[in-house]
Amino acid sequence: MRPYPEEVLRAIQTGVVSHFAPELTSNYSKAQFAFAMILFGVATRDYDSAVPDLVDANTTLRALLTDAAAALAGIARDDAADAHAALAVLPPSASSLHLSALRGENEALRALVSQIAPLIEAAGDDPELAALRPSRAAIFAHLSADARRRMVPILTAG
Amino acid sequence: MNEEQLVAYLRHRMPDVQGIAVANVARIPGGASRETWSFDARWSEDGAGLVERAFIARRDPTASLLDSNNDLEFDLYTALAGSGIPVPPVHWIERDGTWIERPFFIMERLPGATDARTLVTSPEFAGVLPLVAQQKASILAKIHGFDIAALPALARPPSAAASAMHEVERWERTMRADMLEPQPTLEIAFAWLKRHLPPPPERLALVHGDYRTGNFLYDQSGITGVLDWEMAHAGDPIEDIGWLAIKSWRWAGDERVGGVCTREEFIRMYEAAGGGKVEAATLKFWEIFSNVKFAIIFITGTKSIVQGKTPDLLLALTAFVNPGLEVELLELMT
Repeated sequence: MRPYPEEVLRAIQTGVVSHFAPELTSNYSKAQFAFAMILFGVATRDYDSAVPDLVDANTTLRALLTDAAAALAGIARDDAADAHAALAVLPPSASSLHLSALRGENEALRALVSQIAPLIEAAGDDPELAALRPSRAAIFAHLSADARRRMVPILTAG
Repeated sequence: MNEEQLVAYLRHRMPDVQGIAVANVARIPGGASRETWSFDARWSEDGAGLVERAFIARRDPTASLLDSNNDLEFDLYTALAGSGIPVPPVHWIERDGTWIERPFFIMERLPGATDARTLVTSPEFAGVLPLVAQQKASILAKIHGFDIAALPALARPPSAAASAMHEVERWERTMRADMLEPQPTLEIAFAWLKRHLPPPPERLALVHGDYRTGNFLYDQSGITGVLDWEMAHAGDPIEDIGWLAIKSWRWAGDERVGGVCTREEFIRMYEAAGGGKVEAATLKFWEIFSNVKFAIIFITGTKSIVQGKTPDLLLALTAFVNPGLEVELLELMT
């Protein structure tokens, strides 16, 4: 039904700007108010795309980890073998499209990327890890794209 | 914090003066690690007549981006007085909440403004910007030349050789304690840092820890004071240059570090002022470290806001700085 939740957020934002902002006197309270308005904007932006963003991210992470596991299988080093074992069974897919389920899957997958982080990093210039280099580039690209999606322009330098 | 509390406190501290009055009590926005309050006071003093002073009170917050204490900043300001490093004179410190709910210290309010964007973008300050850049470099060289033996309480690594790893491990511990979700980009960055430790500095130096445009006062005469020392410690001096060089502080929106001059110009002025040699690989290490450190500061803030420890919305907002830091880290490590 209307208003949709994002429309409610926008209405609250408009309402507080109209009714509360003129009452503020100190620079501190005005600054806090401005922070609140930016946060309303972030919440409204992220509300609509939260589910597809997580579904896409989880699909991508699953593929990246599968590729990394395959690359690790061919590297004869103990740390690579440990990482390969850690990736042998990926976490189960979310059981529903609830945000809590999708976030749980996402965190489990990102935890696995964290677990193999030292090897991913070293693959950049360690000849023994050359097979992992394409995975490194792909994981970097995914993490960068994911971060760019979450960026708030007013808070981004440069 | 209100006028009555401050009058009572000043009476306690200055029992021999008469007619203490306090006005213009106002919290200064920002200061995400410690509350900063400004106020004016006046009183009558035998022999001196009417005295008027502008003060700053730095008070512990209910929750913070940083785990720090007032003593460090107070001790530093005290030790640095007369060193040629411009810092505000400090007066009193209170380590409990008897007077104004939480621990605080009081210092004088120096002239000048801190707003970084105004400094680097306003035509009003265009003429003084080269001087500010030069002073920023020469003051930093002085900070790094300060004898840390005068600061026994300053946190320090076990040795100069261990200084970089000491900082890396310290911030890694903070991340592990405060992160509410996996941080793969920061994990990769920590792996990079551990594989690219710089050569040890010749000696441990006083590191400001947050030396950037925005943390010093300026006016048309140049830099009037260096503030916000709560992250100060002993370590590799190049850490400060790595911090001031990160993209987050390039307020002019171009490559100028801190919005005041190019990286090469800053290094040249710093070295000419007596700072040590700045090696490119060491600077890159500390620049990556600084992006990691900055992100972890906001992870701590996120934890505070999510757990309801503070109503300060700045700590919620700054969580959204981290995606930009992650992008920058990934580019620097590629």
